[in-house]
Amino acid sequence: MRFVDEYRAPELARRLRDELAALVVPGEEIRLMEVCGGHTHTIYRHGLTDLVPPEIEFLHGPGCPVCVIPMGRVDDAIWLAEQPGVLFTTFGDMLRVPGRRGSLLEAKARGADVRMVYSPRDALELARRNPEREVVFFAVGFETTSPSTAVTILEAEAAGVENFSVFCNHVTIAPPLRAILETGGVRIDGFVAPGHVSAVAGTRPYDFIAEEFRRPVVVSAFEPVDILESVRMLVRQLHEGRCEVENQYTRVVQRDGNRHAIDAMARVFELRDSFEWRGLGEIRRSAFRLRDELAAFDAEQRFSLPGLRVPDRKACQCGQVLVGAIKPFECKVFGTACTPERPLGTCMVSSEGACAAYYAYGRGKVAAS
Amino acid sequence: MRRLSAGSRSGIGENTVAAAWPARNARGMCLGIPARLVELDRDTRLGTAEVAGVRRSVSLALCPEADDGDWVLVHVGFALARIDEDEALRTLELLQELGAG
Repeated sequence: MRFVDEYRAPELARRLRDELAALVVPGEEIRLMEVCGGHTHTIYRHGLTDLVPPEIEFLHGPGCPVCVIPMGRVDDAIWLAEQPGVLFTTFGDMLRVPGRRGSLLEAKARGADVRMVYSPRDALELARRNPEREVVFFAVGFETTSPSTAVTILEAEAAGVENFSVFCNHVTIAPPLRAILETGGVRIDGFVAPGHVSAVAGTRPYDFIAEEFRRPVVVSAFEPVDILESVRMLVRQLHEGRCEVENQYTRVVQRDGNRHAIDAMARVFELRDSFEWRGLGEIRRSAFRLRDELAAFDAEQRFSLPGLRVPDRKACQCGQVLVGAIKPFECKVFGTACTPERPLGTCMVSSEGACAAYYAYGRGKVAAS
Repeated sequence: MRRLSAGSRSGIGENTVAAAWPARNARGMCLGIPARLVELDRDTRLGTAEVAGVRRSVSLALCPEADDGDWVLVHVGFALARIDEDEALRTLELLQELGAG
């Protein structure tokens, strides 16, 4: 276990720890899902699982944008990257995600022109500089990232850039949470909701969790003390019988979100009828596609993608990890056939994936217990 | 407006933050990186933001209210929100820890 003194605000962390210990009723079971992969990372990095009372259990949720992209979409991305004349751009996190025939990194090694970019703007800039090439941007991410893609597409349209398109895999956070709650296979008593998704989308998308499913929600920032405070807010709600959407990250998140970002998304995207999530299957109205009037910038319209559905590898249990049904170390291939160096599943690839975080910070504890 | 570089008060290792900032591997896709706006072109809504001495072009299309000298939360080349300096420095420390992990 890590010592509280290591935190930036050890006094505050100590006080929150003591308050939580006093608040929890010995023997009760409180199961909280942290939705965001960034939170998962902080929880493992700082050993928060050991700092909170043993009555509190963290379940890791589906909020890792790289982890939820299904194998078929990775295969489509590789297919696109291998088309003649295509310059394929992607965030670095997607490079090592395994498809059926390897990863984008392996496609690059075979000769495909795959380039890492930091921003969709960098992809658009590559299109401007390489007018003879077809530049495709592999767009992934939740509401934190999708407005940036939207603004870039609007910029490409305004500037008349004709060799730029987006392979859109943007997803939205509420539908998988609804799917997890409706399936009901995992008991979840409350949710630590993502901070930066909420900076864009606001806190309204979580209202249904409190109203329909009677579970408390707290939107949380990313520091260890922020997460401890959010946990305390959730436990208070549970003990007082309240089910509300509360905001711990008031310094950045507003109830209505970022109006400029929401407007840009509305101008560019519409919801797909359905989208496949790795491990979770098809979820209705859970992802975005480009509006028809922007078809010229839609890689799915410009190219005839194979679009095949590919089942997840049998040995990989990312699906169960992503809904909190099992812990990473309970997966059969965790740390053996599946490691960050040779990942089988997406949760081991991304630094926000629960398996990667657990592998980096949690293995010692498992081995010792 | 104090003109501090991000590392000077918080003791942040400049190399780590500088590595996270251009983020060729876009580490932590859900995380925004705090940066200070050092230049601003209102016509193009483009600015230059700086973390630990490293400068990058940033779009202000999603945060048009940001002003020269403000700290903003930057995600994939776009400012998402204005933040105060304390928040910025605390988040940079967190990123430093993630980078070290």
